[in-house]
Amino acid sequence: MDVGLIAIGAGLAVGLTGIATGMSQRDIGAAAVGAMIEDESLFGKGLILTVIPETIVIFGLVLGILLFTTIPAL
Amino acid sequence: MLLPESMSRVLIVGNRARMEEAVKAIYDIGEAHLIDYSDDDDQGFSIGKSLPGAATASDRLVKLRAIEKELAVKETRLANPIEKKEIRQLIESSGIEELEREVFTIVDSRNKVMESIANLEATRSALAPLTGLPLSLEDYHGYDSLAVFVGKVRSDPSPSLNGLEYELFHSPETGAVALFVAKDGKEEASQALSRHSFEDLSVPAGTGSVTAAIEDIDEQLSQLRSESEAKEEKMESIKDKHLSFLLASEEELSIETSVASTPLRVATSEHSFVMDAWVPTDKADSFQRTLEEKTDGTLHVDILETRGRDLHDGHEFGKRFENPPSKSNNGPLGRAYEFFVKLVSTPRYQESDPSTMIAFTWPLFFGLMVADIGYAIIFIIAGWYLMKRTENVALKSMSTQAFFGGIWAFIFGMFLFGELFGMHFVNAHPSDITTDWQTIIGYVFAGFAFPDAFMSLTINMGKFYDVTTFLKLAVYLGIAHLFFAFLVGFLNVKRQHGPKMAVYEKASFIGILVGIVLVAYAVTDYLLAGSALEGSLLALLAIGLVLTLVGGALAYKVEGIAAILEMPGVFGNIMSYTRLTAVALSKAGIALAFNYMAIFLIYLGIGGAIGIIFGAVVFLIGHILVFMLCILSAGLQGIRLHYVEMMSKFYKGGGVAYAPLSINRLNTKSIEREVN
Repeated sequence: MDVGLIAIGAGLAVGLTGIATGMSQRDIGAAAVGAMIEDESLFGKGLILTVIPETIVIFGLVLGILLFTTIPAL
Repeated sequence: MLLPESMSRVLIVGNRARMEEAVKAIYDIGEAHLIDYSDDDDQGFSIGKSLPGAATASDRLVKLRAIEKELAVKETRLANPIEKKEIRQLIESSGIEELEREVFTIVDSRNKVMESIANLEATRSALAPLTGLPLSLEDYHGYDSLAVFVGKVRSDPSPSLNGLEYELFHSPETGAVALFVAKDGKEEASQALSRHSFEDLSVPAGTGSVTAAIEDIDEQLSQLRSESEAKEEKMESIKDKHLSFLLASEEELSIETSVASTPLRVATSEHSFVMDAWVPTDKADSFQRTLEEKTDGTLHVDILETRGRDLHDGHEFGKRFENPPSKSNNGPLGRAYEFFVKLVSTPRYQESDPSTMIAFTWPLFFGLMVADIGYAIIFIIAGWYLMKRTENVALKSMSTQAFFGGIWAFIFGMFLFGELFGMHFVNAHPSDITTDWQTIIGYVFAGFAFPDAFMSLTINMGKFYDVTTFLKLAVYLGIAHLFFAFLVGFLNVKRQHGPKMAVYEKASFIGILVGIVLVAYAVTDYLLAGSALEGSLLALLAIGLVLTLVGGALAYKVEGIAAILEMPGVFGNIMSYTRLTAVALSKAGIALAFNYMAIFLIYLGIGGAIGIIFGAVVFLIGHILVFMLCILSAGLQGIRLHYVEMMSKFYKGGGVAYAPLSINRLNTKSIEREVN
């Protein structure tokens, strides 16, 4: 029972943060590509802005991994 | 080492009549970054006029580029550069004008052929559907009392034509329809047809059957096509014949135009001209001497100032002189990473260039995320090969990163994890779910074991087993990286605004960083490890809190509420480095999954011979996929840590790249200098 809950928790942590990152990157990415069409030199700045929300999913992934390693069978 | 080269401002004054000589001499030396003059700057001066020959040269350049566009000439480097004298002679004897005539005669006639082809094809596609109707071409034209509709319909229109006097031909296969109605029924018939999605086709005049007409067109088309092919071939042969002339004269004319138009950026009065330029400080003296010698002492060259790194320096001279250009001052390794910094922005003259720092830590991070000998060797070989072969700046920079990242990946993969393509040599932990190479090789060579001497090289840390250690390693690396970034920021601000501002702006955040680390350490030790909050732990907590608060207060003084909002960001920045572990684990996890599939198929004998082949394919495709993921995730996440976490602590960018007036010949060569 506990093992299952832990695994579900780990999955939710990764999945939900992934969705959140995706939602924010969708908007930023679209704007960044638009800006890049106007001025190619904005690639670097566009990239920086686009990857900022990745931190959310990274936290989710770290949390997921930490939870996962507490499952006794491992 | 990290700052752009120091710049000195020079003033060049001379007789306007001898400006051409002066400009050419400056191009020869190739060190002066001209400061553009704009009309509103000083009274009594105006912008100069371009040198004689500028108009002809740029006119020829435009013609040349038009020719190159028609011939689809790509920018390449000639194996044998052409002598400048030779190419000048060719240009002067109207070589470009002749070539233009030759090329555009062919282009015009080719365009005419293309137009005929397009017309015939349109006619043909109008005729094609009519082959289904039992009518000749002359049947469609020449009626006084009848209206004729020819076109395509989706369905048989006869049911809609009730009550009309008509004759209808309809081909269900091609959808073609020809409707003949009395003139007074025209409106009605048109409406009826439109209900069947009628599309009008215009039938060309002519006689005989439609099929014969199409055959005739096909014959004409094939003739015209071979004609246009012949023209294309002729263009191709012209291109091959004149390629070196085209490339060399483009280079020569571009140089001539840029030299000749330089006076447009210079201040002139009735009899004199005044040029301002930045020259690297260590070359300023020799620049002054050489320029004076080259122009027989007719120029007055003065070194006015050597610009410091304080942002307030030079404000008294006016806006034109506020921003010296930045000439990167990196070693060979740092130079390879300048590309990545410039993707964000060119460094300013007053700030450190992060290229060299990125050159050290990005490969390190990349290596930690890949940490596998198998992939490392591919990265090293591919990186080295590309690095030696390519001339492309972007590709060269990326392959340099692949090479050094590969070396770190090898170091971590060998000595820390002992891992090859997602599997350990020998499993360090009996409970570990992964299988290992020793077991697998043991299936084939019974009793195989890696020698102890080899195994003693590696710590054999398990990525999945020692997750907490791995996470800590990533966090410690992050703290060190951020500390270093704030330190560089401190030096930058100290240089630009003085030590007091540096303490307020950056030392404050060093305090906050160290403070947060200490507090976090004490709190986790107390909460997770269950240590009592007393003695040294309590002291750490207290010191941490004090540092954070003092740092926060200092930052608040200059940045206001923004500083307080930024404080939790420092904690977020530290945690952001856990991505090193996360990416390494996810990559290792995918590799592990593919290995399992392959191993089950191959070694456990599932599926017999087909299983073995299938297993090998799974192994290959799986690892290619993981390799691609390495490039994408490890590469991008690695540079992201630099762009977002590190560079935001000290880097502003927005500088002007040093672009001296100089002549760079690739496809032409010149033994003599522009001016002797």
